[in-house]
Amino acid sequence: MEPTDPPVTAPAPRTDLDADRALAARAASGDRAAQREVFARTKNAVHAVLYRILGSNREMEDLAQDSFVSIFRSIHGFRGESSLTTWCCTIATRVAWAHLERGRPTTTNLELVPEVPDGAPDAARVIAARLATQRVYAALDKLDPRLRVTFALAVLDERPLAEVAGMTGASVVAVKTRLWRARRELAKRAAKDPALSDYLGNIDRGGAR
Amino acid sequence: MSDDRQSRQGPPAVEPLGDLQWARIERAVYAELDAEVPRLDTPVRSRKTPWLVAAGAVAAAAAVIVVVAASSSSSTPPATAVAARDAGAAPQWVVTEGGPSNVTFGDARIRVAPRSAIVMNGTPDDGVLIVLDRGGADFEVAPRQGRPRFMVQAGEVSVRVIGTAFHVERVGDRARVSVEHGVVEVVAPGETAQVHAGEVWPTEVASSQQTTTEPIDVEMAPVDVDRDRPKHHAQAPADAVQQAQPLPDNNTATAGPDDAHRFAAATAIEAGNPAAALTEYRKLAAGDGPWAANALYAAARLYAERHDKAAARAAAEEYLHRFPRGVNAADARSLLDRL
Repeated sequence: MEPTDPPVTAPAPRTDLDADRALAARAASGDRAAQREVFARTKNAVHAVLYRILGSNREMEDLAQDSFVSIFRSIHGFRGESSLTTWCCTIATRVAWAHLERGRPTTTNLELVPEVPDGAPDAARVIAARLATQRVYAALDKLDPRLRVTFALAVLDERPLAEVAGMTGASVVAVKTRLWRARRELAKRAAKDPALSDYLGNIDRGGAR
Repeated sequence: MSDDRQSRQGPPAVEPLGDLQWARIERAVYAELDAEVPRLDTPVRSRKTPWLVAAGAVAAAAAVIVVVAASSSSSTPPATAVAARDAGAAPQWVVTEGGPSNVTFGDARIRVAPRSAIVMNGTPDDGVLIVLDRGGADFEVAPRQGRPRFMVQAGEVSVRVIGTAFHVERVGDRARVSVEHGVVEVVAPGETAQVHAGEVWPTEVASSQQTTTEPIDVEMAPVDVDRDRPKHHAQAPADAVQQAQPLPDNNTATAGPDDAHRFAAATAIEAGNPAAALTEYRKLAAGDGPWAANALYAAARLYAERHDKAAARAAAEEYLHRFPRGVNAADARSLLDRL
């Protein structure tokens, strides 16, 4: 799947896009300083996308590395139709997708969930939320990668559907369909898992976009 | 968005990566971009140029070479050989978890330490490139005179084997090499040093700028072997040492880079060669340098981890006697309580 510029619902201001194009052109020419700037500007967004899709930092170094190698190898094709950050996140999405399709286990281990001090404010709520998140990712592990990636971007990362469509190379209609199928699959599992059910209920009450 | 997410008990915030992790990622990205070579898990494409390929990879990623010259090869084989490597051309991984594995590869014996991984490339007939992906490994390699080349790559360090017994340990992107037999010549930007049998060489490569600016020559001639010549420890830039090491116990800025290197080297080889680490700790502790206290407590801790209670107790008591207000004094008391 070759990366392409995804459409976005709210394009970045023209001047920003011009600056992005100039920076991308310098990076594409092999300018190491420009590459470092791209890395510094986009690394947190790239990491966030990978994390939302995969649910943990396990193998994150490898995947982040793969993402940025792909970014720099493809950056000559950046046309500035979206922000550079969004474009990089699109590539990271596809790296994560390929990772899932290879069938690597991604579920967050319990020991990877950070501990919360006993006396911390809302400790019980935070712990419950984290355990619920773990259940969600365990359930997502069972889904087709297309459904998982769509659900992670649209629901967990709260991206607009049009942006998700661009990042996944699908139409908005296809995204809605995948999202519906993902929710249906998760609902089946939630019927046997109260914590997961509560979590999904909270998401639904928050409003689906 | 975050408030809304909190109110809906959404997923917790993304667990951030540390600065060191990002630094590793960035270095690896640029190294991969710079290296016009196959990935590590792809076969060597040409039998005529495998070492040029290796040279390109190393030149792109690093600026450190270790050349190993042997005065003799070890005659002590590993205790067991559990895996005999097929001499095919496809790279093969050896991954260990809780215990070590002994692997034979042509005329070389490799003991892969627990929680380590190596990739074996090439063939004994055409030349071998072992990539130490993580952890450590001991190598016993017959003298190479007239034999195909044998190289080990560990992060930013390459080891060209002439025929010796040595240990390579990866520590993040860095590496440590300890030589059992033979002599090691270390060539790095701004420094050249020889490390003799029984010594270790630490490298301190702090940034990708340091590792990608100077090409290296992996085809350099072996060093002249002379066990009696004065020993010269390799020294990394002082700022790199300060960045990589904890402050010495007396919290002064007078820690010599040589002591810092020795302490770091001992720490690095603890898992793979605890006896050598203890020896180095004891040497440092015997002096009155700023790292003596750290080394003495480290020795006590390591003795305890190796279940040598008497030695651990003696070292902890010595620490409290010599450094009653040292930063590890409470740790030493706690260690004594546990013993």
